[in-house]
Amino acid sequence: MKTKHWMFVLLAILLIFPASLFAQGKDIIYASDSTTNTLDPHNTSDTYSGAIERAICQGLLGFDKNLNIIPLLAESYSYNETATEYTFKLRKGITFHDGAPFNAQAVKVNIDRLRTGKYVRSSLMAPVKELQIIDEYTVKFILKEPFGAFLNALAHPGALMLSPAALEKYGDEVRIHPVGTGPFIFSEWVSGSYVLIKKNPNYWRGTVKVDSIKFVPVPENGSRVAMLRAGQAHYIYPMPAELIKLVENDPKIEVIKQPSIIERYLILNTKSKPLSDERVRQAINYALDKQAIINIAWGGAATPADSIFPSALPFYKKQGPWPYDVAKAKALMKEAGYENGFKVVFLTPNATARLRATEMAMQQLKAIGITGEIQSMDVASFYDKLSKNKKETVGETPFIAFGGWSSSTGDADWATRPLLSTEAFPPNMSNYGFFQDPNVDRLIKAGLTSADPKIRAKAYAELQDYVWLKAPWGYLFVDTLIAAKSKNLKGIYPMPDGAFTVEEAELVQ
Amino acid sequence: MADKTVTPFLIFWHKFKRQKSALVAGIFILLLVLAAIFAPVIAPYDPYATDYSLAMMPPSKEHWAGTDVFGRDILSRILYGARISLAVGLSSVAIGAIVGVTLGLLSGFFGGFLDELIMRTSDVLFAFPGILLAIAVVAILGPGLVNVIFAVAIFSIPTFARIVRGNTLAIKESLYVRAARSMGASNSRIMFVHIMPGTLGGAIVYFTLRIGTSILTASSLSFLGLGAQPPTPEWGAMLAESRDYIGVADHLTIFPGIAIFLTVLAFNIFGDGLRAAFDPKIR
Amino acid sequence: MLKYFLRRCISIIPVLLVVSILVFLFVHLLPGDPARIVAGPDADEATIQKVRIELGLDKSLPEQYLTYMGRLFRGDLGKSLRSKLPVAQEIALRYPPTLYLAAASMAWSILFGVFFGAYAAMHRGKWQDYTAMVVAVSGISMPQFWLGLLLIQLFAVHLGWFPVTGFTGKWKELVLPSLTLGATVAAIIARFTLSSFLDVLQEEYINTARAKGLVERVVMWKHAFRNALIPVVTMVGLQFGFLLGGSVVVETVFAWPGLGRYMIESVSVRDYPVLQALLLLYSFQFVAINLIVDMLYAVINPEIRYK
Repeated sequence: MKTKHWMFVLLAILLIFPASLFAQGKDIIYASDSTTNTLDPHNTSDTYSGAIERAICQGLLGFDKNLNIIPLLAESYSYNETATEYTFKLRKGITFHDGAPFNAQAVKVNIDRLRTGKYVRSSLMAPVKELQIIDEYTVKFILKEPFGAFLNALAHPGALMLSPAALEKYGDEVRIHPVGTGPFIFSEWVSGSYVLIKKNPNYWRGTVKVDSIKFVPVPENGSRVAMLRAGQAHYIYPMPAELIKLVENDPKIEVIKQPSIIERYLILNTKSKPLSDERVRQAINYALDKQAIINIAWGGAATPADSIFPSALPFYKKQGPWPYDVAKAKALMKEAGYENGFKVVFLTPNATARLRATEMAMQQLKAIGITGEIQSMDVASFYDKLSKNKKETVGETPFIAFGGWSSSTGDADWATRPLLSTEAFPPNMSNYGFFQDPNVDRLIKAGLTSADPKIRAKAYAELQDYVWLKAPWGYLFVDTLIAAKSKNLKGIYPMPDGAFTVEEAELVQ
Repeated sequence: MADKTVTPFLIFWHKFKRQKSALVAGIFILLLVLAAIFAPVIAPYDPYATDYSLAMMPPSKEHWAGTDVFGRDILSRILYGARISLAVGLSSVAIGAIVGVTLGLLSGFFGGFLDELIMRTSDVLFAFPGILLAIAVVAILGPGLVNVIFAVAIFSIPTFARIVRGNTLAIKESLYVRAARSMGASNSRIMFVHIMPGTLGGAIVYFTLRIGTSILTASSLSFLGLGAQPPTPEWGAMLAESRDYIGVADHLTIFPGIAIFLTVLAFNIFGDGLRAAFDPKIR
Repeated sequence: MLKYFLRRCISIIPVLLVVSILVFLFVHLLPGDPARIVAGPDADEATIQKVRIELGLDKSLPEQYLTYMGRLFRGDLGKSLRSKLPVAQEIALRYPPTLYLAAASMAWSILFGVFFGAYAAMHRGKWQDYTAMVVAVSGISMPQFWLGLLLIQLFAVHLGWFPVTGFTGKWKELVLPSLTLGATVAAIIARFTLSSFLDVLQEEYINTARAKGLVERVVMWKHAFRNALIPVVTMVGLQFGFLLGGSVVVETVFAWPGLGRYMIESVSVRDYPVLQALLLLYSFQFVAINLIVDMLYAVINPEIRYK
């Protein structure tokens, strides 16, 4: 029998690969909790894949670190007063990684591809009626109706420019062969293991200072931190707030914090009996100890919400935060006739931090008599449940659900319309609490149909003043993004939307 | 001894109490059960009472096992949690064992088509990873503890069936079964009187091992949001919820971890003692 | 014997057929809409509907089943809803890492498990017995994620002997995850070896062997081992089947690019074709392993005959 054992040992040894060499040099390892789903920008729905695509491809416009719109492949742009015509002058002398020239024709190929309606991000170009080529380096978008947030649509990762030659060659297989104009050239994607991008030696904006970046998915928080501490990753995101204590005294590690555009709130079912009463919803806001939830459930990595969308978005107007005042909350409950409280169901995705936050909200609402049970489920089930609610029947089940939103276009419209307008009732968009108010619909439309910053600012200011007090949500907080990196790495930053930029990455001694 | 009637129970007890370690383990389990029953009396604090100002305090004179993220007393939660964890572990394995042992016996004894049917069905069951199975059960029945018990139970069935079947195959061919058969014993008599006791050794050992595994499985299910819903102080859930703090506040995981560890150990040693005491070959 | 073997091989086909139906129903029973997930958290219904049509999810369930079966018979497992890559290719990428991990873990487990089990049996009732069993039981009663994170802290962060995570083909990368995964299996094997040895050691023929004056070690290895092995082989087979499915926890903690993590990722995005293919693969593996185990019974103990 002994021989059998040795056979197993031998088998194990045979199966183990010969050691290969450690690649040294200016090669960076980026460890993240996310996995790459696709590298076709027009068909990308997640922030992480979109951020990698941004290192390979560029759009006419882009965002800087603070989410301001900047021209990239477009040199300059102009638009008419009614926000129906947008003209772009393109930068000259830029070529894609495969040698194809960047020009008006290339823009048209990309926009036409989006406009076929086949892709996840086709909706970005839905307002476009026509794309005109004025000359080789000038294009003009003509819109069906006024659309004030159109510049944001063009800065979105869904509107990145792919090489027309690559699109011709690969068709939709371009998702595994992305070719752009960006600082890095796509090299290899081993599904489930990593994505590797290499330096573009002919980058039009200047010299790229590192040789390659490898994006590795490491879902477990503790392991990601261990990789950084052991020097096996240069940059990790997210850095779990609970574990900051482990690295803050490490001389080789630096923690980066970045305010985000991700707001968290409790969705209140405004069609159900007690929650349909504005006073009850205000009482809930008074009863929530936002700071305690941030400190305990979120590891301190957030700031209390002080408007219906985060301050990093344009047209933000400060409102709060809503004071924590249990006495006032009780008074409002009494006024509304619910002195003895009522029962609700607490719904939450089962990620630990969100579960903790919901649990704390439940503990705090108990003080004003609102009691209930938690139902936690995986994210897919959670959104399935919420989006299957019907306007007619949702009122029968009072629920409070842990919600969150990030405006992927970086614009105020996308931070309000999908969440608060009547047209956004499920399943159409994400107004899961069925909040309905004609005044809100009017203001959202006013902000959408103008490109004039003054008009838009006025509409969104009024909208924020109004909705804040209507309390369709239990306002919680705005996430602070935390990344950590080795100190000799410079130039990689988290972006407010949870993406990142690697263009200026550099390894110093 | 001569004036006492020798009942099977006495034989069992006589043999069992010789196993000192099993006795200790048995006492531990008994104490655990008592602790679970009398948790409201002996727990120093309310296991659900939160106090944010006491969040994540290390063990102290007031809180022997420290406090958790919400400032709840961990010791009190462990005592209350004993009820839930024991209930989940015992009942899920019990259901799995009863069904599994029966199927394994039938399968091994009759062989042929029945064997084929049962074993292939158990293959299918095996093929479904436990976590997927749990998601399915919860999808159909809704989240909650009772459904977790079912999910874990179903997962145990095929292993019990295969172990018992393997032993049945061996014993079926043994001399004493052949002897019994030649003496005209009925199928059911051979199966339950002659074969079953011989197969139980393996099954009991697996039973005791499985209780620990079940508690841990419940923990991973809790982590997936399919197990005990917060604030229920189930041990596995306490462990899973606290893993974000490993390295920062280790007492959050260590104490529920120790509770699980000792419980599993006790069941193992106890099961071992049982096995020896049941064994007719040991005198 | 050969006839039995062939019959078992043929019986795999109907099993897989039944599994394919169950699997199909099962994945579609999960709450959650893949189109909604593929389209992203902020998609509107029009976009979601477009995705639904593209993925063929707008058709009725029977229609989808027929398409799926039609493809399956042509050996086509379909494409992943998430990555749009062929499922067969996705699985082929992740199978080797899981296989290496399973083999390495099994090697540890058999080595330690059988050793501890047999050692405890030989020293029945003495301190060696208790120590061996406590060591074995600690393997099974420690949550894998905890053990894994502790091993990472000690051997990867502080001592720097092994890499923290990932698998690029170096043997060093296998050590920590296989130890973590092997601990549970080793404990199970140790327990089974012990109990099975004890059973066998009480048998008459062992006493006879002893009475004949054979040295204890000879009794152990020559007579006891062979018979004690049957339940152990059953267990090893079963455990190997589990390991080949990939461990969700260990593969997550060690960022291992294997099947276990792929499965949990696919569950979370409701990637139907991938889940169907994985479950079929698992079933096939189990049926095959059980067949091998049953064959081994007969090899180890010639008294067992298959007709």
